[in-house]
Amino acid sequence: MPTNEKVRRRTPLRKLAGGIVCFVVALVCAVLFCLPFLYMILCSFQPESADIFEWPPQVFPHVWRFANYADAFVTMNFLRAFGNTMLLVVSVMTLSIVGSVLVAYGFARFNAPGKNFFFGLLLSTMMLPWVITMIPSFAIYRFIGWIGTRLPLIVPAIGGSAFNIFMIRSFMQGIPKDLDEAAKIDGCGSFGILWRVLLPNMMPVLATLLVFSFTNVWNDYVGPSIYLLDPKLQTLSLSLYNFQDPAGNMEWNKVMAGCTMFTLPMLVVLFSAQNAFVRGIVATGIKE
Amino acid sequence: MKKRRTRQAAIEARQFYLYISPWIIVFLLFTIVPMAFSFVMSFTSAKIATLTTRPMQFVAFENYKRIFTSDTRFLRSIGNTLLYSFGRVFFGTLFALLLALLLNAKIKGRKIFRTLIYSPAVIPIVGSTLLWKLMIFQDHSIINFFLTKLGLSGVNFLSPQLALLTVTAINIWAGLGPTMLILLAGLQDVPQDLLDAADLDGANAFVKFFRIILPMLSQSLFFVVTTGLIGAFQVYAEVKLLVGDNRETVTMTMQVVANAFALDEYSIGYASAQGWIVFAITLIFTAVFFGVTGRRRYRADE
Repeated sequence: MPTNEKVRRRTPLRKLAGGIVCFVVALVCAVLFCLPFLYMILCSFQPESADIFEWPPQVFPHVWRFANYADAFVTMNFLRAFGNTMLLVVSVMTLSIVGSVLVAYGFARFNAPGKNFFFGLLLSTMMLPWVITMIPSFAIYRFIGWIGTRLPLIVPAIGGSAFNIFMIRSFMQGIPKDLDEAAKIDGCGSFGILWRVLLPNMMPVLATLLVFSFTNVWNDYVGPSIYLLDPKLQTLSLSLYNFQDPAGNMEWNKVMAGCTMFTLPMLVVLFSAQNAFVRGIVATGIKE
Repeated sequence: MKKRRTRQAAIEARQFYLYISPWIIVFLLFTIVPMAFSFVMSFTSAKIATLTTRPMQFVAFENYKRIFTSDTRFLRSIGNTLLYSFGRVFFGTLFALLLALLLNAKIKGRKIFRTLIYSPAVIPIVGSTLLWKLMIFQDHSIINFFLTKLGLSGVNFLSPQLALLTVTAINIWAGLGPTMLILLAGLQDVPQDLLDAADLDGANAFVKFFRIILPMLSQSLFFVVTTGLIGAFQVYAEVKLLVGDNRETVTMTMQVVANAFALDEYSIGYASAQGWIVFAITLIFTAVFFGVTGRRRYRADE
């Protein structure tokens, strides 16, 4: 763009200097932000908990003790906790996506009296504090014998979540309606249109929402801490507290090994789905 | 012809309700019913231990009166939550905006910086709270070491003056990545021609920021602040796991949960009333924020 070059008043030298300043500031911020993360990993290899609290601190372990991970594996009962967590993740993810797609399809493609009312209602549920429904729900679950089972965390996912429905609906509205019409002429019913025409076009948004649900369920502490107190049902976020002895002391090197093991699958998911993820975060700022 | 159209409309309406029925059913069973239950209970002295064995005692507005007249701990938790929310959303958005502006400049290694700044958000809450407990709340912790080096020895991050600030700062650290990514996407939507035109008119960086970038970013900022506020008003695990039930940092939701599950003195009736106060506060602040920003938001289609 030759005309633009002419009007740019910044000389190359000033531009370069500005670039270097930006780079250095960005570098400092990036390092500051990920240092705690690195520190967590380094601590997880310290031979003794006391080594973390040496004064002056020894950030790099003098001996790298990999067995911390084996110890953490045992203390957290990792396989069981991992299995429990994955069971929740997979069932909630599946139910919530299926539910959200169906409901979003209704909102995106069909007109009916009361549609705007229900959509407003759906969006307003995002403002509803979980503490309001938490107390009576607990009482109701207790009454029907669901406490100590995974059902309270799984069953409500069938209805989809307001956020997912909103995102899928926006995305569907971006798919031309001509495609639906064409399929209709070819004899597709409404579910056929969803299954054969819309779904294949929605993989990006679905991938994103799957990553989001994965993160949410994987990280969840509040739900399991209320409903899954039975050690057999313990999820990873609860099992990290197994390190505490009755006096409340912990071997921090092993705790950090546990934290790293807990974070690792998140890293794997994020890196393997990085594009879907960034796109999704970007789309949440979507212009309605 | 007209008859056919109305039949068509009826079929469409039926399909609409069929497709949204999963949500309607779940909403009725798991939201409306508990909400109604909670509303009724908020006027009673129901206790969780005796809920099924003893009828609830109707106490009219007693619970609400108690909240505002004698429950200083809950009032304190409202203050804590509001301070936390404003601090977290204001500074969190400000820092995220500054970082987004920085990464929007064409610097080398942008993608790596983006990933690194995002990295704290990857650590699950339970993990990151344990990590911070290790880094600042222990006697010989690494951050205390650096502070001692800087001449600030023995800073107690849990002291009444600092506790809330500590909690807020840590949560800003943890939540900055996603906010930054949303704003960065908003920045990338600002048309380059507009900025070039401003250059042509001799506008400096400040004029460009306040006259072009900020207005065009208003939609993303609005989203970030609204969801941020709603989330922050309900903060629970992030504070509870980090510092426990300190008076200086206790939040509204922590108080509700504490009262609901305390079997002796308090009741779920009382906790329900507190839950409604949390809802009212969320509604009021969101409505005020909508009202204040309503006319100033830029819309792409206008």
